[in-house]
Amino acid sequence: MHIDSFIERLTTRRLLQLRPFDPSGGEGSGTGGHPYNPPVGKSTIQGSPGLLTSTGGLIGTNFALLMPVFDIKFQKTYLAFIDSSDFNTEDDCFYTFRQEDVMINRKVSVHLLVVTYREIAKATFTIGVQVFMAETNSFKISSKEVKIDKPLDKKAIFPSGSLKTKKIPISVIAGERPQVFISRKADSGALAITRVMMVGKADEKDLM
Amino acid sequence: MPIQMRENGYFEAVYNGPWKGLNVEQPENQMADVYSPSLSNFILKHSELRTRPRISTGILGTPDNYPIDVITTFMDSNNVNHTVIVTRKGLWQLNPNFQRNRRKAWNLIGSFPVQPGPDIPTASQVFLNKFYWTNGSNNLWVWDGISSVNSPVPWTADKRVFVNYRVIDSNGNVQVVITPGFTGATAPAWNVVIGGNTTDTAASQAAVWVNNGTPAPSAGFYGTAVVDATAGITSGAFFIGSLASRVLMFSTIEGSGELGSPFTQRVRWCPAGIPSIWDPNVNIGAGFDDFLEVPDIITGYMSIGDKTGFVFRANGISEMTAVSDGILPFDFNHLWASEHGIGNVFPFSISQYGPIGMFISSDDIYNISIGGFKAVGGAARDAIFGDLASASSTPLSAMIPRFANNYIYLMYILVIPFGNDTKFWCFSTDENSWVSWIKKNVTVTARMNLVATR
Repeated sequence: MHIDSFIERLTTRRLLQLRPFDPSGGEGSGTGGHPYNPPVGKSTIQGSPGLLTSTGGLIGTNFALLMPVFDIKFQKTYLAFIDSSDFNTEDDCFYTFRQEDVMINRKVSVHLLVVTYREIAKATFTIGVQVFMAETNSFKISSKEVKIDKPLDKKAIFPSGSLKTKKIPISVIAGERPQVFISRKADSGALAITRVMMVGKADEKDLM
Repeated sequence: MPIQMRENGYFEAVYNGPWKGLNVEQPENQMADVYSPSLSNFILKHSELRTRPRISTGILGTPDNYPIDVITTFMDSNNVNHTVIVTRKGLWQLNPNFQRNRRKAWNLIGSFPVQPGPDIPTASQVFLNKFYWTNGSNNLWVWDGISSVNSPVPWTADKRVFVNYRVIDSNGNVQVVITPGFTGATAPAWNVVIGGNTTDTAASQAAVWVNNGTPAPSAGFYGTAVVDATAGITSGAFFIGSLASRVLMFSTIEGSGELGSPFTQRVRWCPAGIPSIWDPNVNIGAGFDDFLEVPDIITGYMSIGDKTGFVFRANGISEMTAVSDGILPFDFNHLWASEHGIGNVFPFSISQYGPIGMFISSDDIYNISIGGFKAVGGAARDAIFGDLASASSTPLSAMIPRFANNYIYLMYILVIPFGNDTKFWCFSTDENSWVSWIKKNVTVTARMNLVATR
């Protein structure tokens, strides 16, 4: 096989990972259609009697959000499909919450994070806390990897679409202005978090 | 929610939606707990922090791999939908069977018969069941989705014809129907004077034609805006719209052949309901206006209702109101003509959904509607403008009412090229919140659109 042809096959068929469209009317996975017809023929769609028939065309029952792009890596143009039935983002994701002045300019310790989430898919993500260490003028992080997976009960429906909670103990971390963060690596599943709770203890000593 | 603390120092900090998105206007420890000092690739619908929808390869581009300048769907007069794209080669249509043969997803309707405009996002408009587009060259192109191959066609006998139907007469001129009716058994003696009328030879209800001069280029689709039939001058534009049953062109390029001169302050319109005619000497309903009374150039357009539109300039906005069907069909009210003012500074940042429009001015991002203007950059404004200042190419925007039939979420999405990557700033009108997304290794070449795929 000629090398150019081989590269093109790699580029267009495998690495770009074509997404199927749902033939049933929704947007999602699925296959369908008919063998390819030559371009610019008479429409297979019935037109109004007495009028000229259309050149090709579609019925207009399925719609997709498409975005014209040029892929820098593979040097290819394509229509990117923004798929609202799949929230497994192909790039890294992160979200930081505000820094908490639990007690202004005092150290606090954090030992537990509680996440309430809607179970929509398998996912792996990291949740943690960052604090400011005045003594060393630096930031310190304590975090833990969390998995959302099928329940042990094999009869249970997964994903259930319902709200669930995970209590996540972390290594105790102490410092000023604790800040919760969530990060998720590319292609690591779909997250739908509805609430995060940070639990800890505040230093009650006088400042000086 | 305020921190709950007990006497022994035990505390709980709880974070709940509805989330308000990014905030770079306040220190990280002083903003409300519904804001985030930094985030990427999340969507905030339904008070959830949800990872954003996956963006993947849906349909491969055209075989020549040219950038795609526009994608849209229009319905022809047979109620058949056509999903079309434009590249520098020509006009392509989505093959209804593309899922079976994804390498041949696009059928070429026609190649540009003359040099097209640059590879910039193409302005387009669906009008009277036809697809009109123009991208900075001296032609306004049109395809009807039906039988435009080699259009306009020769005159045919004993045929019923409607307004806008075009034929080539025996002298090589384009004749356009202005009064619907029937053609006769024999061809009429065509009026050779540009703008002159010819009544067909049918015994009753004879069609009336007007001479529109030599034809603009055609190849499957055709150029339609002959603005000076005597001198053979055609016109295209950078922006296109419609108002009061007329197609409008803004910031025009005008010239003959492949040569064109820019008229960055010009608005052109066709007669009401006759987008085949653009020369005022052929039909007095066509015309143009130059904004010489304001100091800047036209950068976009959006219409609010059938009678009022807003023409955007770099430092101002001009209200365009339909007032008559006569020689001067529009009244222009420049809301301000100052050297600096609220206007649209990025030509492709204007997007509209119904009565709501969004655009970017020098000082903020604005929401414009019947109720007036509202700055919506909010707590994310400085971050967005920082990205705009670092953009490696022209930003684009789109206003998306829904991602799919079952996922409704009205968003203004601003797309900013960043070297090899693309950053998206998404504004939700539901929550008045901004989030940012990153898509690596792609450059967006035209506005995203919800289009028919079957």
